[in-house]
Amino acid sequence: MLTIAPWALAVFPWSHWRSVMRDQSRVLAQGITAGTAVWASGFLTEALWTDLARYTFAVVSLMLRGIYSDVVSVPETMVLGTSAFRVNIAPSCSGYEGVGLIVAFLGLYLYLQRKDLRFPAALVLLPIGAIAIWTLNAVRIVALVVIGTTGWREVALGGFHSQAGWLVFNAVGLAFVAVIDRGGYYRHEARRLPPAKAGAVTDSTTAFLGPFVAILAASMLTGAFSAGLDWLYPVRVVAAVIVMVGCWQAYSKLNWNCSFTAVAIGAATFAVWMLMVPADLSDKDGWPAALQAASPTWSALWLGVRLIGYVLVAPIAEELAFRGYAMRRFIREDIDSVPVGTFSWPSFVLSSLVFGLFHGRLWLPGTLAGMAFAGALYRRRSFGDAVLAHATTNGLIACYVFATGHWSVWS
Amino acid sequence: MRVALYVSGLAMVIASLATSVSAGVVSAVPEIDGASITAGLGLLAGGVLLVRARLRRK
Repeated sequence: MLTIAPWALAVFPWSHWRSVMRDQSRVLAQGITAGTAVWASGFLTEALWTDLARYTFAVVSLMLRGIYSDVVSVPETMVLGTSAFRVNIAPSCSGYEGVGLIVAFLGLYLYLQRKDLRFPAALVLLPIGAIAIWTLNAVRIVALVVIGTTGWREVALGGFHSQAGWLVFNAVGLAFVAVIDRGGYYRHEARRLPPAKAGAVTDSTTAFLGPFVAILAASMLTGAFSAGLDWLYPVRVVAAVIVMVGCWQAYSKLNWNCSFTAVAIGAATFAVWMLMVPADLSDKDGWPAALQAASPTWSALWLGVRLIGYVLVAPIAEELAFRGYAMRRFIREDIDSVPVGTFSWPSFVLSSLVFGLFHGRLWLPGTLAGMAFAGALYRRRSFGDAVLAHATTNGLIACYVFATGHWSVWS
Repeated sequence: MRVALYVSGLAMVIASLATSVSAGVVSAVPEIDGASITAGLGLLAGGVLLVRARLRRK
């Protein structure tokens, strides 16, 4: 709090925050109440983790016996698996995290849609969601044992262990959103979603957000089946390109003019990025060995696609999502009524901050880079300038990586 | 002068953030990986926006 408070005061003066607190007091109170409730429920449910883990253990054991004849099951130590691969069902693997997340997400979604939904009928979705995600967590553990037993031990304990939970949560959450919003039993007939503007070939949300979401989904999916080097990286490039090709008409309306100033902004951003990158980054240090272990043709092909993805596809997809969509969405819900490159302080700061958060540990240089790319866009309201600045930064980072061998800088 | 003070203040805060907040401990979580929280929630938020936009077109 001591760090965030002066940071907030540096961005906006105290009078601004005071007026925000006054105008949005109800929203702030609701947010604080919801946050406190979630935090408190974590403590309350922690005591039940061990019991739930026993049920999860029993269900997973039953499922595994249907697949393998050499199932190893030690209830005393909660160890489960096959003679070739075993895992420990820790209390935190019991499914509570997923249940908590889905109940919080569905609860929030039902609350936001409360005027359009039929209550109390819609409340039945909460227990259904909890049961669905708990069951799928058991399936996730079974899949983990199957992958490990098949011989992919590193994949099971690496990418799959890390990503499968999020994939399950996203699948369940989005399925419920689709069910709620289709306008069936749970939604009032008169409260269907308003139709999109007539004449548009592709809606702007899909056109601007689609490529980035495709990259995110593909990276989580391929990450679940990778260990160390993500050999399936080309999948995310292909996924983004497919969406962009499908929406190309929406992009033809953008200003794609480019200037040398954008190159200078990209180069300056690269310099700031390199100054702020921690010296102890080491998460990709194993890449050279993995590339050398593969055939030279495959390694060269993978590196070529990685370069195209990093320098060309990612800058376009990310600029479409953050400068083309988020920046306008923070100004108005109907983004079509806001021209690309329209400035407002909240949208500038928030869209850059969200962009930064997607860079994980490098969130701060990521936020500053987002601000720089936004600046490139604002200067002439040219979307091409933002993409060029972003591509320049990424291109220079790639050159630095190839020149120095410091692979972990490659975000 | 005011602008210079504002910029230097902002730079000091950013420098402090870079050294303290980004040094946060990332702990491994078995079911939901905390290190993937941005990607996980980002995919959900983007997915919700896309699903709602697609359903509006039908």
